[in-house]
Amino acid sequence: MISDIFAVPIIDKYLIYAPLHNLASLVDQRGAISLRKAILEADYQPPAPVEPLLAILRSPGRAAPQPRTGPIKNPYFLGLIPTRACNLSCLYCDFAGNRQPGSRMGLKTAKEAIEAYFQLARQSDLQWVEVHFFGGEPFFAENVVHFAVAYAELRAQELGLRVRFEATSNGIYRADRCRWIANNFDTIVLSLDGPEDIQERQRPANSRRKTAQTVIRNAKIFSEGPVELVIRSCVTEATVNRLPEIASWIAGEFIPSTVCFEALTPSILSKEAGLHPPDPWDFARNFTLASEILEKAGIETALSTVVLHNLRTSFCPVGQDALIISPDGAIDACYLMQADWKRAGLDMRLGWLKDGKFQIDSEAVGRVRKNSVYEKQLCTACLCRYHCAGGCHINHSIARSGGAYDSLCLQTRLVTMASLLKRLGQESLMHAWLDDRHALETSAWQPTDLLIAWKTL
Amino acid sequence: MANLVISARCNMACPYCFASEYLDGQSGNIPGHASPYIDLETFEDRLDFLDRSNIDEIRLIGGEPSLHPRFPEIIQRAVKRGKRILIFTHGLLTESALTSLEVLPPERVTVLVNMNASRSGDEPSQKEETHRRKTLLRLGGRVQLGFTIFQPDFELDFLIPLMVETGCQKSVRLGIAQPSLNGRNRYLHPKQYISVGRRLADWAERAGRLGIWMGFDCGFVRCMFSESDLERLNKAGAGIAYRCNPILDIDLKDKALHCFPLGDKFQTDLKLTLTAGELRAILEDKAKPYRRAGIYKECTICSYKQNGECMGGCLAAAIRRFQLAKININI
Amino acid sequence: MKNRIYFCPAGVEWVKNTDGILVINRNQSQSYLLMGLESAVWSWMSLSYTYPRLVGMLSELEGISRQEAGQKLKRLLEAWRVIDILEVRETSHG
Repeated sequence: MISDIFAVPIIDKYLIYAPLHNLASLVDQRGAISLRKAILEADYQPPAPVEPLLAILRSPGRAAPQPRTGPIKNPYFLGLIPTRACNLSCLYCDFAGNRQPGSRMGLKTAKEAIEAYFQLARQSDLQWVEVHFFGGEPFFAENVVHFAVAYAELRAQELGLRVRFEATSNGIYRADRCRWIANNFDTIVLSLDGPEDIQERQRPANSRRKTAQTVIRNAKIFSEGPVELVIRSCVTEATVNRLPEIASWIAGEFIPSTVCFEALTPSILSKEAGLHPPDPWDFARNFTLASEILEKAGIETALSTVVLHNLRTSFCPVGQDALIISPDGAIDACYLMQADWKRAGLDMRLGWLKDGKFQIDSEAVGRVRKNSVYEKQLCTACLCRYHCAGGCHINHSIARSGGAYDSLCLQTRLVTMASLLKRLGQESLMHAWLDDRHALETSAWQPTDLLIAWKTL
Repeated sequence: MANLVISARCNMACPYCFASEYLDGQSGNIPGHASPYIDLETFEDRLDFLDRSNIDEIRLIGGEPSLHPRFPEIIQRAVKRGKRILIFTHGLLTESALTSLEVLPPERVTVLVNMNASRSGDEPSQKEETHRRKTLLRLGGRVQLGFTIFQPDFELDFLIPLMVETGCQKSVRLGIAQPSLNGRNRYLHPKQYISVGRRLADWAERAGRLGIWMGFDCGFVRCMFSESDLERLNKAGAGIAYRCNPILDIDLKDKALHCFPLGDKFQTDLKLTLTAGELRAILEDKAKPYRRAGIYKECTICSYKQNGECMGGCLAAAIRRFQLAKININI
Repeated sequence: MKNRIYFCPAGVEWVKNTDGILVINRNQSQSYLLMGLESAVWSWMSLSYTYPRLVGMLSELEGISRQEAGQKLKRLLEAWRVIDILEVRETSHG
């Protein structure tokens, strides 16, 4: 579709990106003008150099991703929240975890949730099922996790299913517990913001005792063990210029498959603690430098809003039919707190686990699925629309017109462009561009990336 | 085949060495302990063992085999027995060692030079590189280059001009640094294998165009290569193998080991009546209970392993996944 | 009153694989594959779960009473003792 062909200026060139055609290309101004004319004017004869590009752009391409429809048949995963409580007081926590009630999911609830999910999977002829654990800190209610894993494995074997386990964790536990996780989980997303000084500052324990060494030791256990280690590192104004240093440290000490650098999302807690999000220009530049360091060690770098290998209508499990079960048996589409959804004017409740069955409200499913990038005017003309998809539905406000980008948008756009340039083998240009603030602003601030909507070139 | 330790000493400090931990106990640094070098009478016994086993190639290892004070005589004795010689060395050979090898026709000797051996444990120094280059120039076609991969970002391009300039064989023997059982050496973790596989395939394309053959030592696994990686490797004629089996490393104390990374976990006495094949069978039997496992937890259900195409990686790396059972239940 | 303590003898090693827990008695060169319920119980035991806690988890896992779970657990421990991946010693208590 011609509404999915994007162009952004990169110094004196133009980056052409057509995600539905899996196309990225770098052209000069003449090339960009010719492409635009050829797309809009049927009888225009383009110069030879752009003809191969045009041939691709005129081919059907893949269909734009669409929100799911119909009853839930293939949930993205089953999410279990064993507890909302946590033993840390991270200064930027989305959950204000240590202030949450310490209610735990009962073993019966965990069992029923898993059973209901597996039966759904069988009915849909699925072969793989995924069970993810969230919190608070999920291992703060470790017996629930130990039980759930054992039950899920047992039933998966009996039902002929293959099961994967994933957890998002703060890494504070004994070494034997950590080894159990390493041996029983497929992926662990470990929050580790950086070396000891950063970790202690940003992620202190409730008791105020030091915990960085424990997390570092456990990260090494995860590195050594079979579990895939994904390190999630929160980046702030204070740490953004240390990203290359953090990357070198991670590459030297651990064996993660991926490091996710995420800019701080401001919250009540972070404001109270005096933590600020990083400057998006600094973030983009340092993210790229960090990723080059990690790449040498065979480690991927990720920013959650820049997922170029996948086209999606929602940034997160919302809209992908994830079934996230709270300790009280509520089934939600999102693992954030209900109070947060309400603040954002959204309702992510899908139903309840009752009498061992999922009682899901189909209207609620439809309502949740509507949270797609197609409802976000801000994203219509942005080259990141099928990757970022507008970011977090709760925390990223998109009630703005196209081109009114905020910090999250800017860093997403810049990292996306840098990634595309790298994919094209244009590292020199990429670095020159990243070092040129004016060029970055020109690229990032243009009100529309749609090639056909450009009034001037 | 069987590797014979003739020297427990080495004057390098390669960070990935998986033999040093085992041989330290045989290094002769402690007074009253036996010499760190094989005596000639024992060496003759080793030659008898090879004859008995119908093995016509003698593979000399260490430590650093060329440090043996009677290295030239060792070589002569092997030649006298009609053995073809393969030496695993760091390549910084003394003049007498070089001379003793130079006189042998290339078809009777291969000197496998480890190109990333160093005294410092870091990159080889200029002096080491110069000395190694001298060995390559003197021995020419008798030399095969070896490289041990112990970290994901490795470079092989430096080997190409060396092959051209020194006339050594246009082939590289690649090894993955495996863990010694207590894991104190630097080694490539199985999680890093896939990125290494991709890098090897990248290099294979360049190497293949230049007619350079790549050989794979033990411990590689099928799943570290994507289909496209394999295509590129096959196109370059690489000698891909996914082996792990008893090497038969025979130490100075008449012990036959499965291999150095496994140390004394699987070993048997080198009885004078047994052949290499019989020793190998004993060691395979000892290792058998562990063979079900591989370096990844998925190895037990992998079709490549089940059909015998892949052994599931290095057994030492697989055994490092095991833990001692510490169970105590009070009823 | 006598206590029975089940423990692993020296030389027993184990690893978790996709198809179950492989337990090896190195002294006897024997290997055993624990799957399903056996794998779950061994895994919990490796976390130093006490007997009462194991019984509680097993009871919930199988949907049986605590008494039945206790009996099942004892049978399992005995079965493992017979194949020498556990040993038992009895102590006087009280």
